[in-house]
Amino acid sequence: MRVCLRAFGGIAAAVRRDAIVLDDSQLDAPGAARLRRLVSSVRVNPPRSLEIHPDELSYALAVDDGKDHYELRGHDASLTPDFRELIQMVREST
Amino acid sequence: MPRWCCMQCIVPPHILRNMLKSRDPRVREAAMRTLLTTTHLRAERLLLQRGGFLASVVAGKRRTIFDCEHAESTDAAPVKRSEGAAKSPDRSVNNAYDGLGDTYDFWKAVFQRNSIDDRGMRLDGYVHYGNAYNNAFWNGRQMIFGDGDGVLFSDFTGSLDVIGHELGHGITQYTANLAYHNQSGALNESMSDVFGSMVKQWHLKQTAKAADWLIGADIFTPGHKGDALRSMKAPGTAYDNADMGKDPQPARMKDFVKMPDTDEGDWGGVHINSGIPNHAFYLLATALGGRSWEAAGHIWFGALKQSDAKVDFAGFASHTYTVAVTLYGPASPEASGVESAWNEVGVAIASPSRSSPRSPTARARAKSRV
Repeated sequence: MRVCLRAFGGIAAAVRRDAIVLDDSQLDAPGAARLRRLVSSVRVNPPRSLEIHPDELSYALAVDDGKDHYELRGHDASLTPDFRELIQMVREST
Repeated sequence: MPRWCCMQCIVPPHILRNMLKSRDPRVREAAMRTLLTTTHLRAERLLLQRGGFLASVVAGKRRTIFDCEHAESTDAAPVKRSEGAAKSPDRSVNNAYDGLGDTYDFWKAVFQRNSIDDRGMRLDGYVHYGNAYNNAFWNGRQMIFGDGDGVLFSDFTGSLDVIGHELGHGITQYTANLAYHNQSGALNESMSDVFGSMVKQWHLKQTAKAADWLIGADIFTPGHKGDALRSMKAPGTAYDNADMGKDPQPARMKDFVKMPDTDEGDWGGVHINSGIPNHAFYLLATALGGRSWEAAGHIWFGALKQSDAKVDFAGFASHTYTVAVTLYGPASPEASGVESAWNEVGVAIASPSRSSPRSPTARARAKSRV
């Protein structure tokens, strides 16, 4: 599984941000399992779409799970706990 | 007093629901009235929490600073400093407390506005949001501040104009409630930059000429080359380096950046095209001389209050002209300064507002010319 996280918006919205890519081959077995569990959870239980607030960050997580390509999206006020954990996991991988 | 009144406070809902099944019509009626009243009160409480428009007016600052303790949630954040309490050992807590206080004082002294909603709304700031969180935002009720990643950005509470900017979003929400998309969204962002910059200038007692007109100059780590997030004086020049890219803000309408109304497109470039009204405000404030929050600030805030949620640049420019004519007269340097500023950035002032001076002074002047 390979995920690619991009963030948009925020008070520094115009500042360039690089995408962060995390491949489960980079992780040990528990880490890879955690990544797959979180992605699966967010896919089944996506964030509710709420109105965007000024300067709020939005996220797009592109997922390639070997069989399927899809994108998970959300923004700060609407993220589920698993989506937050997933974003944090990808960020901390760099 | 009818017997059902006393039930409103002490009878739990499940008992009230059972009472609806009673054979005694008086008991059923009492239970029904109590349930309806409770539902009404709950709805009212929800409205108060969400909008506050039914709240009574409260005088004075009411700041509360919470510590998210690096969680990306405000739900369980403990209070670290409330109004009048002694300094905290945590610098971010004190920065947020002082910054919210300066911003409240600015609005009270300059615009006689009692907090965000003009009814004494609590100012709740949340610090240490998330881990290395590179942002500050207004969530409709509260101001949220990250610590920055320590590489590019430092603590977002360290910048008074950033705090003034975020609280400014609250002011906009409670006035024109500008839609956060396309030109009205860029005006929403611009108003926050204008208010944030004025708060800083007011705190530093600076003239428009002496001010740096930068937004977010204090949120970069000391070793970083970034100057600021935005420059109102020279949009497009705030930064240009390998880490951040080049500041894409235009200063003039001919350089307006058309972007999709999506999160990826910054909702139509709200943080990009805000450079155009930002620069118009800078041009007016510096042309008039003195301090930005005097004439220019009053014209801009007056125009915000006249605007509807979907106003575009031209509509807002027309409101600024109307306000300038109303406050200072059609032949005033303020009115001509507004025209020149918008003309310089390439935004045409629509004609209806220009021909409708509304103040007694303006009407008298107009009449004397006939």
